[in-house]
Amino acid sequence: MTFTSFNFLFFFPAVIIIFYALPYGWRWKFILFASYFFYISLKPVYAAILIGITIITYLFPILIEKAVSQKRKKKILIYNVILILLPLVFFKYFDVINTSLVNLLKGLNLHFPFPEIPFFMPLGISYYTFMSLSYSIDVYNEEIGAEKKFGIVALFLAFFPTVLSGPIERAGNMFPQFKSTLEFNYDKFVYGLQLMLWGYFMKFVIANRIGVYNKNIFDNTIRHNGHSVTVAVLLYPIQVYADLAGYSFIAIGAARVMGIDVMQNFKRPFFATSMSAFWRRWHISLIKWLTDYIYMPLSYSFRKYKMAGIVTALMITFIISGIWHGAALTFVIWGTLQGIFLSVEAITNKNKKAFVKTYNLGDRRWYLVLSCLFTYILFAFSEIFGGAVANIHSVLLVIKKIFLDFQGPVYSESPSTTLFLIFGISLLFLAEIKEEFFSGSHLLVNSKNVLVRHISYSVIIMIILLAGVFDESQFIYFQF
Amino acid sequence: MNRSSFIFNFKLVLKQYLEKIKRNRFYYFLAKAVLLVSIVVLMDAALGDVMHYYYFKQKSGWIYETNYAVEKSTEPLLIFGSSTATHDCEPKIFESQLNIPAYNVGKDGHLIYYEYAVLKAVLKRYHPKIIILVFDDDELSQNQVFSSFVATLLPYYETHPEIRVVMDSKDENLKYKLLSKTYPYNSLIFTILMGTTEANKKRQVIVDGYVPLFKKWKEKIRDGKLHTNHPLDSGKIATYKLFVQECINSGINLFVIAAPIFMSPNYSSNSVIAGQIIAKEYGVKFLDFSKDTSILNHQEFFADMAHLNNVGASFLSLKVADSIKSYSSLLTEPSSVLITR
Repeated sequence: MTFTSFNFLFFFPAVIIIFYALPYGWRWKFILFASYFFYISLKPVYAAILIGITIITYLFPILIEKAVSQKRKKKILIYNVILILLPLVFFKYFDVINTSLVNLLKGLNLHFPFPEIPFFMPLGISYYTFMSLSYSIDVYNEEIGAEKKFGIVALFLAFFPTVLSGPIERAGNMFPQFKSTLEFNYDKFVYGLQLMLWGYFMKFVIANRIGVYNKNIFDNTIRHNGHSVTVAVLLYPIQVYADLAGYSFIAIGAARVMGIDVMQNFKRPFFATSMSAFWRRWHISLIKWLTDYIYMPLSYSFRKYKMAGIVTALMITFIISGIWHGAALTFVIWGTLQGIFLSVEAITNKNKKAFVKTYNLGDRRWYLVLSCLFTYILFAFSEIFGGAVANIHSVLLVIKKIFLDFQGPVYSESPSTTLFLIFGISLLFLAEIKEEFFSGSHLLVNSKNVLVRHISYSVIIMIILLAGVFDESQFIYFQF
Repeated sequence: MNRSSFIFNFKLVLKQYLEKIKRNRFYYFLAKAVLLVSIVVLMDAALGDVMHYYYFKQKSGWIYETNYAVEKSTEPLLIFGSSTATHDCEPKIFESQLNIPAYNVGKDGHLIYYEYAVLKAVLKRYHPKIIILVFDDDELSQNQVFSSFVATLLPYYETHPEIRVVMDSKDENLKYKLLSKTYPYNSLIFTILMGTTEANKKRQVIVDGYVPLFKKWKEKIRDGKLHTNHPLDSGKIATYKLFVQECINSGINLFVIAAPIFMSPNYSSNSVIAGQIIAKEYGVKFLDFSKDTSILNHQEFFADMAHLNNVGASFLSLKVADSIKSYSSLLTEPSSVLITR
């Protein structure tokens, strides 16, 4: 079961009804039960790994806290980090390491293939591994105390709204909430449902719809011209945004319905006027994690090298971010590209500021729009390496198509599909513009009139029913 | 108590009751939830009815063709298949060559599940004399792009039990999803609009279900080794067997044809091989044009790698009609006679 499964339509209301029917003290225990039910429904064996990581996450911070010397604390933390990272490294990178070793041995004329282990990567492992690490490091840094209740730690990692795709939460934020009375809060409840509704809209109406188009292009790049490939590349960031942010909205909304506040994960990233601003708005929980636990310690260590130290810290942080996203050369290049973009911005920052001030560009709308577009294009280009296509050969083919193949019109599956694409994306950007520039206004779902609000919700539900893509394969027409 | 005092009392009681609800935030939420659900149900029913009305009012285009296949076709020769059927087979040629009315009930991107569901709907009304099933290169494969496509038939779920059975076998939750009256028309609003305004007529020519393509393929023949040959899908194989069995049981002369594909002959589609073996198993004629050099040697016959243009379609249709004619002595007999062992 995931948020987009049909079963979730029954699971979630049932959980909420039981949750609020239970006495306060039982509520967090019930969410723990529901979270494991949710996770086990994907594949029971996944839960075994989660339980293993939970036990380590529970025990080691207690040991760290009890350790008498700083040296011993550090030693326990290192063991903790290694143990927590082992499953992630094994499940995510075993295949790549295996293939690389086989190729290396082949190069030395040694044929010793390692056995292939057929498995699927446990869903959410990248997320709960990072959450577990942050908890241990925070205890080590004495920012929070070690939790004595095993159930609370278990709930922190398995919490069903966040277990699959984040946001990557912090123990310091979640533990006190789990332990609170979790009373019914009308405003939180309604706002949570609003967020969920918008998340579903983004996922079904926008992400899945663009996904249909992009799948046609990226799965058969060789058959499409440069114009179509360029359109797909430009649409890809919106697809990823609608998908990931949509998922995050559902997660944050679901948590809020239960009275739990989860951190914001996206903040209208396409209004960013630079890459550094972009990364403050995109996948915020991951970037905050990387900043706190990798970039900051590194830049502190390299502080004597001044700008060179900052650049090195940026490059290392984003290469790690790339590797976190996936075990492939394309993701390493993706991370390197982000590092380069941010390093260039850091190096030229002073000059840029002076230039903007001299020509008074800061208030010019055209300059801001161009900056947003430039940032978008940079990100869209980097995303060719960031999962849009499967491997480096396909990446090269996409780039070759964009710059060398100018024949033929842009591919369109049918006029109807194109209209759905335009409709969905337009609605998304209208909502984002409203939120970015007119957040105080009380339109539609925020109207003070109850009927206007309810009709607005109903219209969104109708749009999802009419324009959503619930099973990508339902509506694909594969041209060739 | 007179009428006005009754109304006054009722208003007072209602006001007090509403205020009581408003004070308890949980009940206040429940009351609003009931209001929201009511609006959604009403809106869904109204929109569903409007969509239903315009869906079945179409007189041309994509939806009309689906509707014709399911509810209106009467021709003794029907052509089933996906885009290879709609673009490669010209019913007029079959009509002139075999002297029987023909119609192309194929649908772009819709493979065996859809074809089987439509066959069930047709058989409920009448038994055609001949059915040509145009086999796509990926007809029985696990290719995710061509997954099921039975969703196209959602508007018929309620009124066609024979289609319902096929659809339920693909999605066990369908009966719950179809509690919504709007859901069957998912992704169809613009198609319905275009059909209603007849804008589709300007865009595409459709003659008896056949959609001619007029462009010519410019790229050189593709090396078959480079083509992805997807593994087979057991569900699709089972459905293909059901399709063949239904035709045999209904005494229909079934011809399965593998459509030409502009690719070097060193490529053998898993689907086509499986289709051929199963056809042989059931004693059904399987005509393989996928490597026919009289077509592959004429690049000008192709509109793209997988579809023929109008010239190629006429050529192929003549060839298929000739092949069927060669079995003409057998056509009056039940299809089980057409065993080609």
